[in-house]
Amino acid sequence: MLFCSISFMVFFVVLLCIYWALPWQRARVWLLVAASFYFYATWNKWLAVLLCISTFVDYLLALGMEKASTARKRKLFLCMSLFANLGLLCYFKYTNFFLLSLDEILIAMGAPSWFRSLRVIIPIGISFYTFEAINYMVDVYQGRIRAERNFVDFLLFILFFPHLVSGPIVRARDFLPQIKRPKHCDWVRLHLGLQYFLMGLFKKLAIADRMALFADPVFDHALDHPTSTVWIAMFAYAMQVYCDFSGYTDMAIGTAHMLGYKLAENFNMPYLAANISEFWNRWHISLSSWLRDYLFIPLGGSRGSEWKTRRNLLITMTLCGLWHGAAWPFVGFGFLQGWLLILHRAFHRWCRSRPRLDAALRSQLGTAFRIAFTFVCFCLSLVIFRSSSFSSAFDMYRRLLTAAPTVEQVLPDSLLVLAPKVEPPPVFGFWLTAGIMLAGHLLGRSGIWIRPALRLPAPMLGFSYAVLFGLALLLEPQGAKPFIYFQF
Amino acid sequence: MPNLFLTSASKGKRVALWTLIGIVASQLALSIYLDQRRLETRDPLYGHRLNHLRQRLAESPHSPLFLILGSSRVKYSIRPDAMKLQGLANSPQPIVYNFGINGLGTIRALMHFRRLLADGIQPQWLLVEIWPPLWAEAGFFREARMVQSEDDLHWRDLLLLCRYFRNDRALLHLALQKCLTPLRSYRDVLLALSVESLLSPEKLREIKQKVQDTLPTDRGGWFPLPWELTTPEEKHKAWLDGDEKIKPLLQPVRIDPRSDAALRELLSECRQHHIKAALILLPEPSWTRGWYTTESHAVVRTYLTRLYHDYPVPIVDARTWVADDDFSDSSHMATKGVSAFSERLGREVVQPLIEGRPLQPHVLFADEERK
Repeated sequence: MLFCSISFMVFFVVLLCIYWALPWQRARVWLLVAASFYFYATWNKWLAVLLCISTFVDYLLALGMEKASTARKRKLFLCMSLFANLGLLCYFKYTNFFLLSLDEILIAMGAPSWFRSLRVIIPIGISFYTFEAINYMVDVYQGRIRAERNFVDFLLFILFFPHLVSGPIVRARDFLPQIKRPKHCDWVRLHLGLQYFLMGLFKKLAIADRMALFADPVFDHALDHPTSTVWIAMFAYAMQVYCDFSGYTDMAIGTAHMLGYKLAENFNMPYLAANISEFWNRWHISLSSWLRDYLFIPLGGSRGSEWKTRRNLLITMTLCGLWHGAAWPFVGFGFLQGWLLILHRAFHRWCRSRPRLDAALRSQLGTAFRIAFTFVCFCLSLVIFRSSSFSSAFDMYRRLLTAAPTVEQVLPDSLLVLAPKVEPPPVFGFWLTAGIMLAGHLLGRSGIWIRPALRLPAPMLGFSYAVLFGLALLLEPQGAKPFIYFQF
Repeated sequence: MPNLFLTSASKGKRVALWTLIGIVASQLALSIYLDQRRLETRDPLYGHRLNHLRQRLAESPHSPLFLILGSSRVKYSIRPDAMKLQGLANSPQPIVYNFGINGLGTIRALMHFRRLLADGIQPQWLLVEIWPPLWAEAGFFREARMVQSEDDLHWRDLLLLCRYFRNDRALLHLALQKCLTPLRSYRDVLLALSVESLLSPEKLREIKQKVQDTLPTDRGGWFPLPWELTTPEEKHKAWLDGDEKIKPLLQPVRIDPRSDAALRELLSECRQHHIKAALILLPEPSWTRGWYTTESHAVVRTYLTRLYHDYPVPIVDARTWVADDDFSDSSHMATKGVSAFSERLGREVVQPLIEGRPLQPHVLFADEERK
């Protein structure tokens, strides 16, 4: 059930009506647990059961950890939990990746093929809820929070459907107290939630899915297209991945608000970041901060020598790439991000000793240049992220940087008929959509639209939301695509 | 961080309410607008045919209408313009119009008949094709499948669909979705009308082709067969196709209660609206006729006898009227045979029906009762 599907909207409206009609807070919690279980079970009921079992194990381990009398026992409970959570994640998500990689190495060394891929269904959102369970266990271990006594509350923390499949990755210390807090139907929050939801819906349907029309055919067959089309496809994918994920997050935050819960913001206009370090503070904030708190800092963070910091950055970002998907291009993407962060640190230090250059770069023009440069660098690195293999990424780079002839120009017509090219739509649509996104960013940053919007009478504001909803439906290309981050 | 704003609770409540009203009202208004004003946009298959028929009727407003309803076999085989009809004394020449639609079985025939009545088309005569493979509501010609793939459903179809396909939740879900969210269901055609460049070239070609396919090339609504098969290899392939899709539906012939009920409902409505109805079994090549077993013949005979008993309308049997050479495949006539067949149909069936004369016995289905 996708957030942007009619079936979800019907599900949510019915749930919302029943939820606020219930006079008891505990009944609402139970209802949310049941609705979240149903939401997940629409994909696969057995995996929903497995998720509940794994949550129950974490619940027991956390209680055991709290009651443990010695530090050693506490550590043992933590290790058991980490082993169980990461074990499930590795089994479902990475087993085939490691087996096939090992098989490829053996074949390259001349040995026969030994391994067969396992028939494993990857549970949707496993990377997200695994990280949530880990942050809970680590926080209990470090004494930042107390272990949750009520299993239903703990189940809701993991299962809460707005963040279940694609985040944002919520922290137990932020979410668990919200469950206990008495709630009443608040129209201010409902209105805010509606704004978030509609904005997310528009981003997903009208921008992300539309941009996919320009990116998909080109990424699938880069050599069939001229250089200008490949550049457009690259930028289109950058906008697609951002609007897809931030659109999902907005819808998640919006639905949570309407139910009386607050989820953390996950994006802060990352494409307006002036350097790569700032970019990662604005992009997928809940993951970046999780990696910082539970990986980078435990590794030593930036406390040691510069070399150790660089090593920690590289390890963190490479694992960040692997978190995104069980494929070498994702690892390569993460590794590249690590290097970009290292280079930025080095450049930043180098600039400090050159005040005139530093001042020039901090001027308005310099900032605009840095924003553009950061955006292009990230877009170029996304080519690896989007490509199915390094060789297809290489094809894309070759096409981006050289004006080599296209397949059409090389192959005779008779062969072209055998493999007809999928053409992207006219480029007008790209510029129109990119213009809408840019305008949205600029308006959002300046906030100049808020005062006139506040003055609008309720019917006009309501109708403008209806128009936004209508435009999202109208501009959506045929059939909503699944969210990109579902696969992670 | 998105730059959103908070309002007071009372304003928030009103905004949420107006949003809901705006969404529901806009979808409803668009749905009604498409149904009433842009039917050809919503449902090109039906809308363009209706517009064409209306144009034809507007040319001679006082002429009575002789409508022929049926599947692709009607669409490609009956050419009204080739019928040499003679007008009646003191009355304008009737307009004979072929309203054949691909895969039209009895339920869809009823649906389209009702749509036509609701759109102000009042035929004086109605000739409806009956074809045993379409009675089973199974296999390739299953109407639930045809409704999903061929028709764009209107509000007014919903009740009928609910009665005939009440167990087919996917179909009802689709029908409701198309009616309730027209902006989503018809976005491609709406974009094609407004901002073509937002569509992919393939999608645009597909939409234009669909429109092209629904525009009759002939004044009487006839379409030339788009897949004329001439070589022995092509014909053999078509035979194999018929063997796979048609033969299983004839051995044995099964009559789904829904198909029977729809045909009876259609005939009842004709009676109610004083429309003179007739049924026709269209030509079949010898090999297709050979697929009927003795039991199949018996089932068809018993069914049509019972039907004639309940609704005494003429049942024309034209199954052997066309030679095998004039067929393109196991069910469709090749274009070269169409004129001769249409002329004979006009002479022996349409003309007598218009004149109110009884049909010749050799034209009629030889049921037990009449024997």
